[in-house]
Amino acid sequence: MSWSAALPLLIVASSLVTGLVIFFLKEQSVLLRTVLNLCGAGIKLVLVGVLMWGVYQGQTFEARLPLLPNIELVLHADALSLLFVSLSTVLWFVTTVYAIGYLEHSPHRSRFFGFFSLCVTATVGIALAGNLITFLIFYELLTLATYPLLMHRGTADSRRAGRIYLTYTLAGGALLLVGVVWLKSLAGPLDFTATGILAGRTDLNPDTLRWIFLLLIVGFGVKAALVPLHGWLPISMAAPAPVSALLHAVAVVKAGAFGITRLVYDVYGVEFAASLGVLMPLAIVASFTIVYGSVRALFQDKLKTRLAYSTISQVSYIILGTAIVGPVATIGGIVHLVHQGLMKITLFFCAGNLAETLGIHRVSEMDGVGRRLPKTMAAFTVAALGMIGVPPVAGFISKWYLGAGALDANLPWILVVLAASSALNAAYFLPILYRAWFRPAAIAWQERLEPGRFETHWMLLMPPLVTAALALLYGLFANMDGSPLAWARLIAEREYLR
Amino acid sequence: MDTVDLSRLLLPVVLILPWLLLCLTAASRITPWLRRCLVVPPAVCLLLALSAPAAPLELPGLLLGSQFGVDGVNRVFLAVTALAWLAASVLAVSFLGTAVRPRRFLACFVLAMGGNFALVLSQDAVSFFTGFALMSLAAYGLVNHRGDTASTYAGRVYIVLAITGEVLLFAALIGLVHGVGQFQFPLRFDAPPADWAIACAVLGFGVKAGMLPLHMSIPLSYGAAPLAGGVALAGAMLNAGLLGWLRWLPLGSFELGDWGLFFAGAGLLGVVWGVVQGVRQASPTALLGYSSISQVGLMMLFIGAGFLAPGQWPLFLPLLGYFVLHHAIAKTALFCASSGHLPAVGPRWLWWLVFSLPGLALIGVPLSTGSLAKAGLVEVVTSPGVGLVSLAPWLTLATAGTAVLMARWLYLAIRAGQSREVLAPAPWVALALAALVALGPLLAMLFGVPVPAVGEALSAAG
Repeated sequence: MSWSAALPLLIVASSLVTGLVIFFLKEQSVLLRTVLNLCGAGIKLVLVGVLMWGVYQGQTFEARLPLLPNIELVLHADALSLLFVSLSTVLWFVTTVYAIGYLEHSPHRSRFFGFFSLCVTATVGIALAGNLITFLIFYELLTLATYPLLMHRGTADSRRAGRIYLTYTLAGGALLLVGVVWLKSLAGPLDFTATGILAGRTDLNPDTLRWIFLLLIVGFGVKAALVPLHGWLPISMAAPAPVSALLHAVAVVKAGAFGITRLVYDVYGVEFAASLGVLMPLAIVASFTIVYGSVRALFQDKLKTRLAYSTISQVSYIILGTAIVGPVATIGGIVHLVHQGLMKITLFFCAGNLAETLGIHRVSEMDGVGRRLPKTMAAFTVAALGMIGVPPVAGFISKWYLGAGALDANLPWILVVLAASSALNAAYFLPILYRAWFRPAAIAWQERLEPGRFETHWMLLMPPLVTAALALLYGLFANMDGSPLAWARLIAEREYLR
Repeated sequence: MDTVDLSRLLLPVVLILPWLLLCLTAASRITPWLRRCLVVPPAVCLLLALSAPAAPLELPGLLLGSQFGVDGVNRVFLAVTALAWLAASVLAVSFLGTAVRPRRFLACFVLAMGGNFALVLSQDAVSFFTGFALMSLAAYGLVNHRGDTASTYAGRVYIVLAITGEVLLFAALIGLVHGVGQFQFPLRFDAPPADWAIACAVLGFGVKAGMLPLHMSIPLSYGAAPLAGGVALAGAMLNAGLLGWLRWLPLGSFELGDWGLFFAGAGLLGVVWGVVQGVRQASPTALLGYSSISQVGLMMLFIGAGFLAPGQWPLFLPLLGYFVLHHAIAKTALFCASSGHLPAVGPRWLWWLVFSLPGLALIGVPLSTGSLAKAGLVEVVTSPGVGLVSLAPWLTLATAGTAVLMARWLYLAIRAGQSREVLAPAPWVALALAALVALGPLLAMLFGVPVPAVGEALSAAG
């Protein structure tokens, strides 16, 4: 097997093997498990670095394995997959560090980290999938790998969350399967191409294609938490913080959004999809989701639930960017894949720190917490401002491109949606910042950790600082080579320039 | 080293220093040494404003491609921004010695300062917007520093309006730049931009500048903030809204009569409302807030005239610049004097006499900066192409109103006595600024830019 075929496989294997080995470790072998976890994450980081360098040099990386007659498992590295694979690899590394610190004294860690690695394997598989079948396989694997993570605590709440999650995602997965099989039977091999497989296929019935589009959108929309398919997400907040962080930033919700991106650009082709008239309804649903999620977030006192509704809203920015025809909006949607991931993972890390260090779970308990956890809350502040769209944090860059793209496409009402969303984001994030920084502490917190050199365990503190710094730098230096924005521009160029 | 080199050197320093100070604030204890460092960035900034402009600093990797520099539009603004922040910093050094939560105040203070410097120096709309957003949000920490009922309320009104402004400006940014296709100032419009985009910019910056009816936060926040914060708000940040209008609106390119009349009308409304509400205030700093609303109303007349007679805008702009310079210095002086602290030297009446000089300048008594500024305003309003001659009597009325307002301020400031904050340097800063105002036209000549331009413009217009 050649190097260019082996590399994508190795990237997937690096976490798969780690996960499988960890399952067989004894609970007490903390050191070995930690080393394995960090090595797996580190090796993947290096491999992805090599992959990016190779693609930058103009090499193509593709692995094809025969699966069934006429069906191949394809792993392929294009610009879009690189963006997602590098995001998930970096954030996996950071989250691994966080999870090690977070779960230091809790039971069933081997089970947890085993599924954790499988979850990342699935995400990376989704990122590198070169056709719709491969995508579907990893997408379903993701469902199965996250289910035990959601239920990890084993409480009644988390069992309920797991059950609901499984109901939603399996139903969505079934629709997706029907859609994919139907499409495959009509259109043949479904290898992703930059301008769309179906673009220019005049032999297919447009109505059939519209129905298939609907099936696939619903299938992806469940994970992407498009309203009204979002019901599982706020409930799944019963999961441990690192799982929520990964779920909201890279794995599940993002996989859905990424699926929609692939579907529109690389299966249908954005211009063809527009000519079918399926993009405008998608834009409307995404806009509604953006506003709905923000409005619901306003009324949540539980911090993690507020963040969950915020995710519902923010992920739909990506879908909105996909649904607006034109390169500028495409850039906005795709770059938000990265930006939202960094900002949201920071917020969840911080929420976890509050819970683990001081037993704070509710916004109303956060009075004065900025003095006790200044670094954590500084990271939270950066990420929250980014969510509102305050420059120079990265969220502004996404919003700028989405807004400009909307005007390019002559859809000024989207600007109103974006403005409303910014105002609503401010309305539910700024009171948190106000409580943390400007109110005196109102209750006695339960100090849960031994006092140490830092405000909390260093493995809990470093991850949000790193991700917040990245969110800030990617906005501040958005125009630099190698920034997510630069990648997104490259991707958009390939989508539109034949 | 000649001056061109000096300003090339100073420009990046001015942009970076506040952020360095922010890092220091976050990382170390708030020592007296660190507090004293606060005066360095505005001092360097002032030096930059006084040195000759150089080629802009291009930072293509920053944001969406940024440029910073000093040009004919922002130079006056840079000077007053630096001066006001310098005054505010001197007060803050002393205030922070006894303040509760000094780290939070210091962090918000330098963040607002850094944002303000960045927006004034920016040569592109995105950098401007970034600096403006940072400044606006950070200033919340100055408004609601005390945390009592009044300042919490002031803070809430402030932040709601500030966020509303930001959202409007975001829409304006996209709407305006989308038509132009470039970020760099001056925005070169091929056709008049959409009215909704202009409206968003007018209202968005109007929040900061205190345009009626978005002025509510101005007197509240001036009254609630510690004096050091109030000086920065009144002397520096208010002008950011004004500069925003000058940078973003299509002034001097098209005749947009409706917008011209809107600015004239809203301006006049502000002039009157500021006086009417101002005299009813019990706090000298809140009164100064209403005085600012009134004075900004006068400055809006310049912009209205610019929309009505775009061809004459190049003549109006330096006159407006001079007005801004005069108002900001006088207002900063009055703010510092509002502390009520008087040094042990000299009789009390003499100090209050000195402190009333900037008030006299705002009224526009002869030989003050105000007389020249007001002469410029009259020239603009009565200029033939503008067609606002009927406003001239109103300007006389405005002068009378300002006189009443300043008398009331003097009464309140004397009666209020010493503020609770420890602010020994406040009277000296007020003295220095009052001297600047009293030296009037001479000062302007030292600045180089305004006066010759003012003279030329006056003679050309006359």
